[in-house]
Amino acid sequence: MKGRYRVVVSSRRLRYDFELKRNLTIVRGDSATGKTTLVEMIQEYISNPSGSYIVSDGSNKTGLEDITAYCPAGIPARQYTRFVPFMLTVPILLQSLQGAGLLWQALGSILLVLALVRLRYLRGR
Amino acid sequence: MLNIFYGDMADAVFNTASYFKYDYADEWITDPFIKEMILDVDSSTVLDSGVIDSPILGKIPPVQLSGGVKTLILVKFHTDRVFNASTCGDNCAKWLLKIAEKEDRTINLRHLMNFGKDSFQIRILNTNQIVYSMKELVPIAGEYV
Repeated sequence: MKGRYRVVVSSRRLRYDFELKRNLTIVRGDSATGKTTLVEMIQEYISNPSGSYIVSDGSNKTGLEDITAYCPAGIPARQYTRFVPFMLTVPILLQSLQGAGLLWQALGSILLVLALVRLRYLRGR
Repeated sequence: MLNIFYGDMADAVFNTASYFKYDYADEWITDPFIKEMILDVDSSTVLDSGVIDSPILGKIPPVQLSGGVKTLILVKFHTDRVFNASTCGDNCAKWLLKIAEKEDRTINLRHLMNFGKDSFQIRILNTNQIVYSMKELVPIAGEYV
């Protein structure tokens, strides 16, 4: 992922406006602070951009449509590792209270992939 | 007492929102204890078994309550199941302790929930130890999450 991604999503009652600066962003916080609502609004918009009341900022072409992987709470942390192949190219927004464990798991997976790539490279020489 | 199993637990209900969606009963929502809990955690007022007044979302059905409150409701009424309480934020911790004040409850946690500075009584099922503060809880639970 290069640069920053501005994410703007709004409905009649709500508006989210923030920037993703890293490949992996974890949304966490107290209950009833809007984490699930944010994820659902993004999901709603991506699945039906023209026919949904949810709107994203039309002037921002590198916004919502580019977040290709995200996940609501209630998914086991180990399943997040399926996002690892995307991490270098697209911003990923995850909702989780298991943030620390998840980050370590993701980091471990990246290191494993890099080690395997290096091993193949060395064998090739 | 509140019993907690930390880490992966095969039998635990992981997606509590989905479980709640297909399982909740109208009378749960109008229970006075639940009404107080919804007001405290979600800042929302129960108007009827099917309508809750949220200051942010307007009039919502019970399935649109926060993930934390939905899990708390399941923990309160389903004594026979173990639920993943890592869908609850720290603002749900005191309610977990309240629910388990008079009856035993078992939950599954995949993270270190903050149960606050006051003393409490929690049994960590992984080691079968009873702890009374976060200072005692963290070193034991931290091994499993």
